[in-house]
Amino acid sequence: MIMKYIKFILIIAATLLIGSCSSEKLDSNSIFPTESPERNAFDTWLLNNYTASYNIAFNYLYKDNDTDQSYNVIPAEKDKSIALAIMIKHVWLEAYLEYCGVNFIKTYSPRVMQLIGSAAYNTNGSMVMGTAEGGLKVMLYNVNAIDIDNPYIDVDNPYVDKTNPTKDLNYYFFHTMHHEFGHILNQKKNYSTDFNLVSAAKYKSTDWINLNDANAPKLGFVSGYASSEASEDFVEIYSIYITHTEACWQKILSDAVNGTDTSGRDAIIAKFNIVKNYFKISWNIDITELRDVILKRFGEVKTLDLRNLK
Amino acid sequence: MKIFSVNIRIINLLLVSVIMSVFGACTPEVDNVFEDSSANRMTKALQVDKEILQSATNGWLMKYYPASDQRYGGYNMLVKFGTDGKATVACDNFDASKTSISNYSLVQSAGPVLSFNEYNEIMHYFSDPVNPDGIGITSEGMLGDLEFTLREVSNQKIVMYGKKTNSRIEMTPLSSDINWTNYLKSIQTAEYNMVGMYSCVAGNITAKVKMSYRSMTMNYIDDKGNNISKNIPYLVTPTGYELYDTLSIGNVKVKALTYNAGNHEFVSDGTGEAKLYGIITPLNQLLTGGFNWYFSYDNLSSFGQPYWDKAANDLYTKEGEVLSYMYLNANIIYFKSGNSVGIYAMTLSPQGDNNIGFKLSGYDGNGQYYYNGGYFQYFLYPFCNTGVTGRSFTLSCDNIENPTVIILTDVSNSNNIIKLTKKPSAPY
Repeated sequence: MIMKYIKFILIIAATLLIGSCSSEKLDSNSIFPTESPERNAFDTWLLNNYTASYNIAFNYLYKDNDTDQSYNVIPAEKDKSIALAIMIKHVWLEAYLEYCGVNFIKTYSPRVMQLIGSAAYNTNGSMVMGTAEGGLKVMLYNVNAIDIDNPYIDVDNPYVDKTNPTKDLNYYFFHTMHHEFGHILNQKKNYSTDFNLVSAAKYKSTDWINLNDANAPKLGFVSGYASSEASEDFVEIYSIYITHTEACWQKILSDAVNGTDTSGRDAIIAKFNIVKNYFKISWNIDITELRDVILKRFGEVKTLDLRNLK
Repeated sequence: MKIFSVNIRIINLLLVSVIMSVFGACTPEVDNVFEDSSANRMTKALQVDKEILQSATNGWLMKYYPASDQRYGGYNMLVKFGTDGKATVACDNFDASKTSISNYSLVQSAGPVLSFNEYNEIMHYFSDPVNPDGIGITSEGMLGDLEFTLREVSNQKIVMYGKKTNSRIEMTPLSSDINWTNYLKSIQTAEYNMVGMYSCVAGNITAKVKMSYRSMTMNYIDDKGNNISKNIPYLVTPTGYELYDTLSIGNVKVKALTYNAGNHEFVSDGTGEAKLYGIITPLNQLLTGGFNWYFSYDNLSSFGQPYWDKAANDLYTKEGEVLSYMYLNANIIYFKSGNSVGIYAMTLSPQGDNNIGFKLSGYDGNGQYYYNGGYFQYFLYPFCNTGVTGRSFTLSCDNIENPTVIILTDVSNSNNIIKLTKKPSAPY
């Protein structure tokens, strides 16, 4: 008898429960566009050469959510974006591809590159050349200053004339790319904290702006910006070393000696050795060999057709 | 007893199941306020907005005040949105026949946002942090926007706000019979013919009016004896000025001023109670009256050009720099070479209405560097000789009512002629 009641109750409960379920139809259309956007020749080239090959979104059009709203900036010119895309592929992506292999560059390259036409200016008067965010995105500014028909890459001079930004693509783009990529690699694998101790007392924070590049070596830094903080110091050593000749590096070291005071040179060498070891041990990269590949590819830029996509 | 206890249990079970069923039958859903999801509604709204933007077959007249405080006044932009995603832009601040074509997009970003997302020489002139003509400070330029949030969209009118500046911008469709070049020329001609300085009379108040860019500064004493200073941004129309805001001066309200070329007067709209009277200013006062007067190589005579050739050549070979602007404002010459800016101070000696002398009297740090480096000794030579020697000039102009070019003819050497332009121009 009791079992009967229980069964009866269960049947009623099950019926009620099933009855209480209301099914709502899901919209079969996605709210995200699923059709391919219209692509011009440059878009298609980017799809093949950046997105399909390296999983990189190369944004030459201004996107508000990919840019820093605190700066007044303007979008990049299309023909200059094309020239920069061709050059970055040759001297940056393919340099790592050649030396480190396809898996390395596919794994660690930034996922987004955002171009901006003008420079971004800080309130202290300094100019932002590039930023890297969380290993994900690299921003490149001042694209409209590129002289497409006269690409100039200075690998000999460590102290660039910053008043004439149109001239040296190395300083304003390629050195910047390596600098930001250095941050990305540091975010994946930490470097030895011994590095932070070498020049610990000499970092200048925002006052780095008042240290000329030419005066930086005597204080133990390879550039004025390197004196801002240890993490910037690390990637400045990396990026300046691999984008300049040995003679240029030696010039920095010799300029770091002030009479009998060799403390500047000693600091740079001590930090350089940590940088070199880090890349060798953490990434199996001999930065001198990588430099050879990069400099060879810099030399080939003049042979590239920067106006026509292939 | 046993049966009783079973019944109680059954009743309890029944009660529990009923309560559970009742709760289970409740659904937390409420009726939708909107018929569709927000994402779908935004997609549809963007599509409708895009169709309206593209529907103006002869484009839109965009009344564009770039800075949030409208300090540079307003500009007439003509913008046509193509179905191919390209916007064609023209502006009264450029050559009337010039257009610039670039990508635009309509995106969702806290509402529908119109973005000029590819570089456009005309549109981004106003938002470049380093204005091509040196207007505004580095990092700000003319403080314009490149993205605009659409607030009201109809075939008759679009109201949008600069995303950063929140400046209100209106667009109205241009009728199909309007030729862009002719329309912009009519505005430029009207502006050219209008006198550059005024006094304003409204009721019993008389105000002094100074113009800078497209903004008037009006100074007057009100009924209570207070000194009042008002900035009044405007844009030029083919018939006069249209003010950004309605101006209240005394009891008179003014929104538009119509120009009467016959007597150089502007008359306010409505009852016409306010009038601007043109003042013809002596040229030497105008030249040193606070406007920028720009130097350029092409505006030097054959006497001055070789000095500029030498200076420019040395500047490029020794410093790797190019002179990007040089202008006179009051008694100061401002310049920019590469990324360096500097100044030279002049001693002025005006004589009569149309004569003036200039002597170099000082410089700042950069001015000193570029003078002693041998560059500005030559850039300045046609203007003030070796500096302390100075030069005197007789002044003439292109249009006495509203000079846009002042011509300086050296009193001691008639072959030395320098034309200075009010419109910003690059030296080379």
